[in-house]
Amino acid sequence: MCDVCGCGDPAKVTIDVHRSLLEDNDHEAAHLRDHFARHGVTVLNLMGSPGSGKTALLEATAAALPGRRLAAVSGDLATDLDAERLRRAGIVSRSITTGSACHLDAKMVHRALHLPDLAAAVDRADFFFIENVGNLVCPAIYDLGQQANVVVLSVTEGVDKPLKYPVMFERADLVVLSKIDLLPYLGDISLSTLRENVARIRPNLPLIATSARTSEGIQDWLAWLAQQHATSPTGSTVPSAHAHHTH
Amino acid sequence: MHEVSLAHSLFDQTDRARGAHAASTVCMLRVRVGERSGVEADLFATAFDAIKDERGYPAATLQIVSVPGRDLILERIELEVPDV
Ligand SMILES: Nc1nc2c(ncn2[C@@H]2O[C@H](COP(=O)(O)OP(=O)(O)OP(=O)(O)O)[C@@H](O)[C@H]2O)c(=O)[nH]1
Ligand SMILES: [Mg+2]
Ligand SMILES: [Zn+2]
Repeated sequence: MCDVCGCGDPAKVTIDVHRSLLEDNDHEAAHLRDHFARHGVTVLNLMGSPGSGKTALLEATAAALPGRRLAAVSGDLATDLDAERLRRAGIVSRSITTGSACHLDAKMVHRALHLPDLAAAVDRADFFFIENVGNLVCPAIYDLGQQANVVVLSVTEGVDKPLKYPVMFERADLVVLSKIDLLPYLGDISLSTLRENVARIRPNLPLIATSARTSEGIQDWLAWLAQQHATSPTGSTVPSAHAHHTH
Repeated sequence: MHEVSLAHSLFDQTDRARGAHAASTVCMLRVRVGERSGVEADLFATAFDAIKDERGYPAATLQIVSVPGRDLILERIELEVPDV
């Protein structure tokens, strides 16, 4: 008899499953990663709190890289505002309206890539930025087929955030510390304490301090991007083509 | 709440894994939840209870095994096979 719910007499059967709850997402993400590799596009997943400066960083990036082909999607609960800002900045961009979902998953990104204009731009792009939903918890666990995770953390959020949200920082490949032009107004925020707290979660996690306002540090961010692009996996031997499948 | 999405994933996995036992009653699902998985056990349990009826598992209870690391794994399904 079932010892948990005690629901009657008949035979109890147990099935040992041992499968990840993220299996479907990971499968979808692997498919995306292949696709990106085949097209030589470097894909970055930007995460961070609401208002941490993710869109502003991309605007500053576009302004500093006029010759680069850039594409983006913005995860947004309800509006098209971020995608509009990015389009004005010269990035081919669409929003993924998530409704009540607090994160993007691989399926949502895949669906967006079936929008013809975005798909064409992504396949030709040097960089495809996925601006995740503003949230320091939920997006971290979903693989989107990205090459690297970037956490945008603004100085106004306080020095303790890496300690309070370790899962996000554990999965980061880079922390962009944003809004450093505001440091003079924030007496209690010290860059060195922030760096220490990041290092307590992930020693050697690179951190680049930037301001989208003054462009300070943006060159360091561009250098990191160039390095990501140089080390992108390209020309995967997987023979299928994204355009030739159905769902 | 990504816990709701994950509860749906759990039932998706269960739909698939129970396979030949589709006529049986699922009474327990055991899930390993890592401390660093990004999932709050309480929120996950709440999400599970909120959707189990609509997903066709009204009799199911959730057993969460907390472990270190990042696991998010459906370990075991317990079900009752009706008398034949
Ligand atoms: N002073 C200053 N303000 C900034 C900087 N970067 C962004 N901001 C401001 O911070 C606010 C939020 O910036 P966004 O770029 O919209 O932040 P976001 O992370 O994209 O926000 P969500 O997508 O809504 O989560 C805006 O008013 C920006 O102008 C910066 O480097 N310095
Ligand atoms: Mg934004
Ligand atoms: Zn969530």
